[in-house]
Amino acid sequence: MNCQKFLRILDERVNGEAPPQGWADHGATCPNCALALRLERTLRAAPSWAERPRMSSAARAAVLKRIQSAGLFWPRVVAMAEESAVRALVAAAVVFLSFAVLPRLWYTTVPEGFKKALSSYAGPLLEGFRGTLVQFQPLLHQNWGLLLLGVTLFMVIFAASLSTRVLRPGRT
Amino acid sequence: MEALAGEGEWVRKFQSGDAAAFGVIMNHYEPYILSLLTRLAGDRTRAEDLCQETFIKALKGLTSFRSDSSLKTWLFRIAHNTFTDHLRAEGPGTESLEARAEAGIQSAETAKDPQARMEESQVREAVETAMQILPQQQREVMHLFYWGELSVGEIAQAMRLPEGTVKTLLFRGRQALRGHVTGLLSEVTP
Ligand SMILES: [Zn+2]
Repeated sequence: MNCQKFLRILDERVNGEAPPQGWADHGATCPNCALALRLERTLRAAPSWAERPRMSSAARAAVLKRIQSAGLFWPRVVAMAEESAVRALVAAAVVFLSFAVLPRLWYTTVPEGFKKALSSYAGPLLEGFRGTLVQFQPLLHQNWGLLLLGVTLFMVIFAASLSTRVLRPGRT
Repeated sequence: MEALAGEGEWVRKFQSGDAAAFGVIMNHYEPYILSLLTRLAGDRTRAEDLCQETFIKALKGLTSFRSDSSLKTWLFRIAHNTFTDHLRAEGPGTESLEARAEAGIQSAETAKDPQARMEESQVREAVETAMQILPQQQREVMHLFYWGELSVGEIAQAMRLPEGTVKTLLFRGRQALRGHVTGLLSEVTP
């Protein structure tokens, strides 16, 4: 073991891995490496011996005073709205895409036997659902109808998400 | 460095309007942030101003804080940016390396008691002095690693550097510190 190798192992040694044989012996006999080892130990222990400075009470008070005067209301509202908007956008896109894609998949890829088996269970549910959807159908034939539907979907989810966020702030 | 217990809960409390929660967060992290800024600024008064600025920025940013990174890393990043902005605003050449080196030598001069030379306090003093002689980035990385107990990955996040660069800075910082400390302590060898 030479000094170079000793120091390389000292530098690379992380998470308390066991050093190779002869390493500790060298550290005990070579004054330079002993100092390096001691220095590393001192550094590792720094959190326990280092000074923990504090700001002056005036500086702390100045920061805390900002909480009252900084007008944190709007940034907080903006942050909440932003978060809810992103969620609503994703949710609206998912809902929209599933309505655009799922019926097509249903007709093209699902085997007839499976459809029959499923419709005996889910039939009544789907019928009810279709009843609601049919009401939106005329809208789709209007100019901007699709966009209006998308925006409505977004607004509904956005409002729901924002309300939840405001009423139950603990949840993120 | 210990993370603040129930950190996420304090953040959420603050975000939902509990102003006192920020006091708890600041109370916990203030010594670590001030310690880093003192190390970087080399001047306690300036460090306190920067620390105050850091927490005011944190106060604003915390409203939209999401726990992508830990609060500790996030705060160190704000402190780092605050110091960097400050340095940029002051212009080049404000950091007097010569003054630091001089202070280091003086400190070694006063440490010429052979009996005490290998006492732990002596080593610590030499470490503190040597740290001030290191170039800024090395000093910051070394401080965050040993004093702040941040991992290489966390340091990379806080300083916005690639992990490889952090490792290199850490390696060089350690080597330089070793050299400086050996120099400082060997001056007291009989
Ligand atoms: Zn050696």
